[in-house]
Amino acid sequence: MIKKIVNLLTKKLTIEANNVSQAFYKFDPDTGFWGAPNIKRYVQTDLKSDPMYVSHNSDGNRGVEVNEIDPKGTIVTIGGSHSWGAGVEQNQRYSELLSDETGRQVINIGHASLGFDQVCIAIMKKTKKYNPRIIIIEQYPWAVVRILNGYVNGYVKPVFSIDKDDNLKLKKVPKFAQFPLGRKCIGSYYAYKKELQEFRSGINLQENYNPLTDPVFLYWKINHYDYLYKLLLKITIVIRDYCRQNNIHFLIALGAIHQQFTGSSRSDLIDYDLPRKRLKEILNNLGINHVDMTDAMLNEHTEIDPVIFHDGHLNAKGHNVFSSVLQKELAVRGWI
Amino acid sequence: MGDLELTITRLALSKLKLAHKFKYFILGAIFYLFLLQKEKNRKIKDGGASDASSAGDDVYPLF
Repeated sequence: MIKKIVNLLTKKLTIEANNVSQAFYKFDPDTGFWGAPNIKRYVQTDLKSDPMYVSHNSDGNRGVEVNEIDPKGTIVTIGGSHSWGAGVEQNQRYSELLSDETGRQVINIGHASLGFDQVCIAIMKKTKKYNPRIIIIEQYPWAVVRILNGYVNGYVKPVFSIDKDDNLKLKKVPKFAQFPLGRKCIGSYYAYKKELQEFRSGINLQENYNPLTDPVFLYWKINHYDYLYKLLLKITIVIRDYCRQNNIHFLIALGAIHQQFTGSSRSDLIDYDLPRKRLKEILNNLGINHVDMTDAMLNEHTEIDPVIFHDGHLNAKGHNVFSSVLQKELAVRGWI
Repeated sequence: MGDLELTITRLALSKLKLAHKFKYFILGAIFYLFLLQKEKNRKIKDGGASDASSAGDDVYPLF
């Protein structure tokens, strides 16, 4: 009876999990969700006509089984669906290409819908066993908004916040979130609270959402996201300090967002570069190593031979460009 | 009616479909009674200026 009531009340409010996401995720006590291990199947997506083969190893990551770890140190890559390789075969991903080009062991632990907050926790909780010497975070600039979302694809995430004394706090994933009903209950609250806060700022993402006027690009909504960038700064500091303590080189690779390929916005008050600019300001102020893929991507992109699929995900050519830029960047920095 | 209560009401009323208005009223009432009101009172007590939750474990020192 309780389950029926919860379902009725949360039917339209909870974020509907993508079918692919549900198939490839499992509950994770640290990050909220992580890849389900030992999956091997073909997946039909709308990105291309042929089904895509997806294989997760025993760690739940898309990629070969990690049986041996390079004692010299590995390169670990992490990010969202671009890193996971939506729409491309495993060996077409930038991580595999980077491994081929550098001769180094590259371990990709990216997952679709992963937020920068989860990236931070995953780096601290999941990478040690891979003996990383270099960690590369692939960050799609628009995706910074994910750290404001505590409920994604049917899973409750850990939630960072800043207290009144300007300290970074972490609300870890509650134990009862391992149960679907528990996730639905607390996730519904997180989703509602987020929508309430957005409503206060005159933001409505639920009805008539247009990616070309996403509020994160709008100058007149800039104040609503000030807290987001403050969180981002503090989370970046945590990652930076962790890497310093463990003698790991750390690089953030900023992708080109889909809207930038469609041309300039219709108004000077809509800036598709706004999340990137604000993120880069943080990275520059903190002295964080980063590389911006925008120019390389836009230069290589044509209508006949694009670097992205219709939805903005990197295609095989895009991954090639991404990998080439990374390889040059690592070489210039003397890390390989 | 306070600011929070007014915002909850306005959010529900802003929905286009009658069924959604009803759902958001119910959800707003439930969440307000059990969670949002407590958070609001905690913020008032702490004098917090942001919408951030003050609950949670410290991140520093690194966990």
